[in-house]
Amino acid sequence: MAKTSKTKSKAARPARQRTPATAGRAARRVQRKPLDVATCETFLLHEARLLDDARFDDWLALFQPDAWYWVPSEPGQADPFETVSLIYDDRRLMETRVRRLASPRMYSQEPRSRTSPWRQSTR
Amino acid sequence: MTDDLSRFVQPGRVHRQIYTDPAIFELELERIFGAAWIYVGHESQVKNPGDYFATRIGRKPVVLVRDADGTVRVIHNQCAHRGSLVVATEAGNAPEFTCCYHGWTYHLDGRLKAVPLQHGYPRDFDPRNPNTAMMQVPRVTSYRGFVFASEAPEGPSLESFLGHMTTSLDDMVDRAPDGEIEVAGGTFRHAYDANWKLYLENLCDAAHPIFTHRSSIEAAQQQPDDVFSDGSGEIAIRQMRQNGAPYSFWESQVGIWTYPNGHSYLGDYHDDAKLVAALKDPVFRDYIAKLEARKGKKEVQRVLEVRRWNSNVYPNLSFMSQFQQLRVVHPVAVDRTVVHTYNFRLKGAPEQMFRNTISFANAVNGTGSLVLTDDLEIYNRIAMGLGSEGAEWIEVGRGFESDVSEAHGGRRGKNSTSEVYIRNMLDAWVAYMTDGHAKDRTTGVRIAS
Repeated sequence: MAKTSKTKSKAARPARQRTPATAGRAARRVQRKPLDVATCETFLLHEARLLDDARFDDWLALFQPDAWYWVPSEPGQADPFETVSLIYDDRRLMETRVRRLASPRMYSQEPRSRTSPWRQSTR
Repeated sequence: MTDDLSRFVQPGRVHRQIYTDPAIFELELERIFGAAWIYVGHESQVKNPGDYFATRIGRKPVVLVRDADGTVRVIHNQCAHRGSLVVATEAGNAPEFTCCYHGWTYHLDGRLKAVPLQHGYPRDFDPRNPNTAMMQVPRVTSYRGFVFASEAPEGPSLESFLGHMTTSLDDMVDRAPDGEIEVAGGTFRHAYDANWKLYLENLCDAAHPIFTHRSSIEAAQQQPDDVFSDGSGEIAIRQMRQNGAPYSFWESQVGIWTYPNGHSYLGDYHDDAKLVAALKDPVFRDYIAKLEARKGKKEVQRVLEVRRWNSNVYPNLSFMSQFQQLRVVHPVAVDRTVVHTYNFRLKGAPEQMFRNTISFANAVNGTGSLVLTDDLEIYNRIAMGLGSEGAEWIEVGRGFESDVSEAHGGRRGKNSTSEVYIRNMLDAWVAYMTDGHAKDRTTGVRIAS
């Protein structure tokens, strides 16, 4: 449950809350310089490789502490507050999600899902 | 040779076949979903004339609609001409329903309105024939906005069917400062490859979380207690941790109550203080102030002391008042079930309360939930396991010798770990399937051995 002050500051800055999860260092660079397609491509390929290799801790490290990972449930969904989302994780929930992936008792992931047919999970 | 269906349920055990036999499933659709009061939807989904919501009773597609006079109806979603589904979108508003095949058009209450090329039909063709219509489900009744329908023209009233469970539905509504709730915030839909009965059989199961949800419990236990970001993650993490409560907690602080017709609720579980840090929280204090302004201190104390977790209304409804969740079970096949989950907004409550509802839904009922996914896996594994045809009888006997009678015709477990709610549903199952005449009613289904 949010404290009131937090809630108010969020309401005042909805655009920030809507920003999809952005990567740490890359995001800071983007703020300083105009968007560079090559940098974005390099970053996205790097992120995809980390996921394909199941290097989830390294993937998590791409995100800033105030990052959000949002997968809306409806096309054109305006925000994550008034409508349910498939995923709406703050950094701690992202961590929890990643830590759960390391559990030998994650029964719904036997066998583990893969994002690539070519690469083996390292776990 | 035929067998009496009541033989599939014995004291403390049930035959595996009622979860796997397609012939039994067909009989369930006829005798349970075709007879009982089935939850269809909420009046807030059809606020204005012409508003409709397409859903199912058992496997039958129906439409919940508010007609031109403002009456809430449930009509069969079938064109009287060639039988096509008429309403294909889940919800909307329409002045009339038109079939997309040959343009037969219906009034909102299902009566036939217009037939193209009507002059070509035989002279005795009567468009006002009540059987040439999108036919109405014979009985439709609301309890405080919750709409139920029954395919049986006669039978017990809705209130008699619900019995003491009306108090759980009351709890959904009484928590709204303005005395009204509305469906809002989108829908989660999930499916599993197993029998429909397993869903309600899991929702009051206090003994599974510490085992089934261990991966999310252990991950959540690594997080600190303080509020982080906007608090939505906290609600999820608290819930996951709560699943890790030891058996001693479930055996000492939580109860399970069951009532006639298969209904039950798990109670005295999450009080608000445990889940949302209620009394310290300014949003919750604001909420209580708004409630007290409308209802008075005494009534608010009564409302907040109703501490129920999941309430199950057999055969297709489960809801939870503290976070305004509601789930509807749709049987599709003996080994295929779809569940739709909804959220309610408490009218007159602080906006943050609804945001908490959404956060809770994402954590517990969401497609990407760290919790629900393991429950769905269990249902699938039960279906696969039963397919091995090993042990013929399934044990549902925990607490059998220590259950006690309860007011309102009920029965409760000594504590929440009793499987009394499963036995209670199976008793209802036998009653529906044998029409209360277990000894006389025989079918073509027999126990395999």
